[in-house]
Amino acid sequence: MQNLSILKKSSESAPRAIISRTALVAVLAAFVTAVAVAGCLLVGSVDIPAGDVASALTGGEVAKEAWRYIVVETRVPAALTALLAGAALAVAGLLMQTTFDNPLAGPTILGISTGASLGVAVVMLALGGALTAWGHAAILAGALAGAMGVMLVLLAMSSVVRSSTMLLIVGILIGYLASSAIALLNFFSSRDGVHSYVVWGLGSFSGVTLGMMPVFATAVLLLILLSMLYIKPLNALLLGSRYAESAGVNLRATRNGILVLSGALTAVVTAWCGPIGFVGLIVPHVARLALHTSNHRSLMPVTALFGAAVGALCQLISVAPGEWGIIPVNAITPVLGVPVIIYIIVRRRSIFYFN
Amino acid sequence: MGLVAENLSTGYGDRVVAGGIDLTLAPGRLTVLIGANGSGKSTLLRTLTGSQPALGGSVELDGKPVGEYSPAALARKLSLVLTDRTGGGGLTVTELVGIGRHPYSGFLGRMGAEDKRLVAEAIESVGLRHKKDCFVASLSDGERQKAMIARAIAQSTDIVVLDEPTSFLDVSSRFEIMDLLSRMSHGGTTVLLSTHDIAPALAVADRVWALGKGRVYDGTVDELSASGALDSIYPGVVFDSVSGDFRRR
Repeated sequence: MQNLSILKKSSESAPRAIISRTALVAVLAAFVTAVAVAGCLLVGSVDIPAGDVASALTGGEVAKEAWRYIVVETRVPAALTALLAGAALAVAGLLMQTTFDNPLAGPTILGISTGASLGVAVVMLALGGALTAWGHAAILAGALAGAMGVMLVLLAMSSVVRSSTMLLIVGILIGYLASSAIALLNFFSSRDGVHSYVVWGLGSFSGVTLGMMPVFATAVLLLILLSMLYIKPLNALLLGSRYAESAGVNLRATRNGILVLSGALTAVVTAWCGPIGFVGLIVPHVARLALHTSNHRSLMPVTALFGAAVGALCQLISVAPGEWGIIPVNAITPVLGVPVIIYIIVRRRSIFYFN
Repeated sequence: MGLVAENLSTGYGDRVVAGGIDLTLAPGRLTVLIGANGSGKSTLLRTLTGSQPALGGSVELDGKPVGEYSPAALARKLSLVLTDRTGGGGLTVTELVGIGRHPYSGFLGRMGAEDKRLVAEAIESVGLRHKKDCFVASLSDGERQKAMIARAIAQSTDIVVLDEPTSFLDVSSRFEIMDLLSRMSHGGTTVLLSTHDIAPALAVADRVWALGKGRVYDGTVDELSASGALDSIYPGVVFDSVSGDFRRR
């Protein structure tokens, strides 16, 4: 089982110089992120010269005042949102994959995104598509309530169901129930309500205004920081729950803490950006493959960084058509994600961390 | 002191697997737990190590009921090697063994010089020094089991409990593991293991716990052989004290 060439290479020339590899990967990811962010600021439906973008950012002279508004009020928040949302979803995915000991676990699979969607559907379809400022707050509340509701059910089940795989299946089933409620709601609501729900469901990083940015950024950064506190128990959990417990991990408290964190990360992002698929699922894998380790000490920060890079890249692709319009984020993430998943499934036996 | 069970009943729910068990785990000795499949070896080990509640009676570790320890406190007293499939293929041997230091290391798992020394020593003692930077995924089953034992050694507990540590291993690995466990007990560690590898295990055992017909016979190999206890625990076979193994009746 271990004579495939890729494994030989990765396992025998062991990560003796792991720090330099981590540093190299991190620098590359940071570079990609920077380029993507620059692209997000330069590209959009309105053609703004690079010089004007730069002076809009630095507060200098801009040829048209509208350009300043577009850069500062639209492009900067969208780029920041993409970075933060990508990082948040990726970290949530990593937390879930390790805790559920399942490489296909992720925010969308556990039913948490669907729970958030249900909350949003209830709010939007009740409001009938009229999105006032209060409407946005209500949508946010709906998403949080829906995601937290699913998480509470998962938490309650986790005290009954000891097996993480079974808990994962419970999550999937809850997701189906929420989907059925959403279908029912859609059927009985107004055309406008359905329309705005569908648009939200397409995913967008443009939903966070500059004014809301401090709230969104603080929430995401705080949750990611709290996730870093679980690095040690996550490493123990790699050996399975019983070994983790024998290494002194309080299994129930740890699993509950991780569930709450991953659920909250998903809820916050879903509330503002819609249910964005694949990022949480694939980024941790790409990070493991790039770093050549499952050690969360380097894996978690790099996963966050890769998530930010992927978020920014998606945003760049989303606005790339320029004046032709924007591509919904959820039309992009599967195109990036599916090849990665197929690669992982096909090479599963030769990827070091599965064995 | 040490691990003491009094009038212990093990099982699940209403189903008692074994009852009336009085046992004291001999400190600094190697104790081998044998018994037929389904006789409740794993259940007994799980109950003794606090992984599952006793149906009756008590298990005390250093004078305190084992169920009253927090996971962190228990991890400083007792380490486990299980039959569970081990993940962690993407960790190096050193990282895996380092998990044994978790009960002592800081909040983020940062290890001090002493921790690193103990990890290196543990790896050395199981003979895996040449593999210390290799991925766990690249190890053979025997090496992987040695790494898990090294992790238990690095945990620096008085007691190490192993559930069938040699299943799935080839013959030479079985003897290597038994020798390793024997050396550990000679070094002062209290070792308790369950096994179906009768001959290699009994060759190194200081004491035997023979589980059969819902009770546990406790003694040396010679004592249990002489009393006929060993003849009663597996259906259809008797113990042959000359070969140190079971043979057909």
